[in-house]
Amino acid sequence: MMPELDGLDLCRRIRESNPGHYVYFILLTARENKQDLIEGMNAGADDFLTKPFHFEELHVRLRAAERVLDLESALAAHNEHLNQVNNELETALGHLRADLDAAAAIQASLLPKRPARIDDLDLHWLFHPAATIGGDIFNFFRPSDDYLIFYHLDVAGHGVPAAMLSVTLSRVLSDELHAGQLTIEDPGVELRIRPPEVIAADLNERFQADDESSQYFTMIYGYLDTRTGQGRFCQAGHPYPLLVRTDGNVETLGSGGFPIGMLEDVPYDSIEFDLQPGDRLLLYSDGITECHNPEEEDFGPERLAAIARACRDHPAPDLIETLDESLEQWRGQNVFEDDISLLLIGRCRASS
Amino acid sequence: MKAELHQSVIDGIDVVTITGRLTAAEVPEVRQTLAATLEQGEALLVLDLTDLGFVDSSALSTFISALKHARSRNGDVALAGLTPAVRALIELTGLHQVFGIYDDATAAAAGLRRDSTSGKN
Repeated sequence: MMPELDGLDLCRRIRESNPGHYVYFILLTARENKQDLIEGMNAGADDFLTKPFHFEELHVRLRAAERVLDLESALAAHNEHLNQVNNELETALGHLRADLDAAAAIQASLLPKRPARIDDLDLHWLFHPAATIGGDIFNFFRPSDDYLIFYHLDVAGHGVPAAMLSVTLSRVLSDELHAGQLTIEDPGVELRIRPPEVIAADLNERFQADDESSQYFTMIYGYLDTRTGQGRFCQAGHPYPLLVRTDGNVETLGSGGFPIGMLEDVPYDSIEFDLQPGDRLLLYSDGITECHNPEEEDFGPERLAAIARACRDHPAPDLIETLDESLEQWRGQNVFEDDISLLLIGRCRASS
Repeated sequence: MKAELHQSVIDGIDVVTITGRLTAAEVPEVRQTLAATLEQGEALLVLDLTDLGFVDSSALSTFISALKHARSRNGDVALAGLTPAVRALIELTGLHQVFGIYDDATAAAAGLRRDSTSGKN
């Protein structure tokens, strides 16, 4: 018997001390009394034995204790395994997040750096990838002093597979690699731009999706003669570009076309447009027009056109900001399900 | 909100009715169902889209893979009952030029039967 500590106190202390493994506690008591039992169990005892006890009874109670302790140690081993796996997963997830962030940085580095003023052209954009990385990509560059080449494309799906293809495409459609691919340079002859429908057909041949991956993309690819404002583009399944005139008229350009990589040997064509002083051309992905509000209603091309019309006398960044705010209000609590992107090519007014 | 698939037969031609909203998340399941249907019989398939409110651009791939599958077996796929949103996407992506498009499943089945017996495919 213990001189300073009774059984209940010992039990409480053991429970508080948390020795790292389970201590099975059988309280031995002289009286058979419900109150003692309740007090003992409250103090953390697992079982009870009343004096005088039979060895046989002690034996079976110890067997029960053994079963509980065996179970406890099996659980402890299992928990340790789970903890270890969990730590490994957390480390792996950390690596994946770091990789995704690095991929997002690479993707961002392939977009235009800052709003650009090229002669009398004004270029602005809006870009919100749905995940860390996305399938939308766009850019523009000058293959010569007289032309601007531009594109806006959307790889089907999103996440890593879509981003990998969009990054590849941004290298194919780049300033560094345009010679011989996007343009034809004959010695002594002015640089010529290859027709957009030819570029689209080339890409369609090179990027045929195998049947399982369905890695096709939609695209507007075109060029603009910066001297005259005359241009051409090919619409490969991408939403219809909007041409915002100074008088507030918003024209929907194009008549559709096959996405790239979806079907082999299909024809592509291009259409002409003219960008007069004060006009703006808007290229955008379906992430904008298909952005849902909580009632599952699409934002739609009409709302985009209305914003473009309302902002036509304001600087281009105002239009971008207004659109951004409208989309945010529209979706409410929803997250963006798809990449949101828009490229604005404006021609400055003659007076400015 | 997910799409639901229902299979039936009109005049010996398989009809898969897709209702609801068809998005990227459902591509694998739909693709598999359509492939399994096309593996049997004459590989003639009607997709009844009368109650399909929305298709996103990645889910279009299920129609395309069904079409390629059917044509590899000398069959064909026809689309029936396009809602305005689905019709808009089909036209934007030029696919009305590669699929037979009909007002309803009965007309689509008759069209497939006619084309297959006249040896168009």
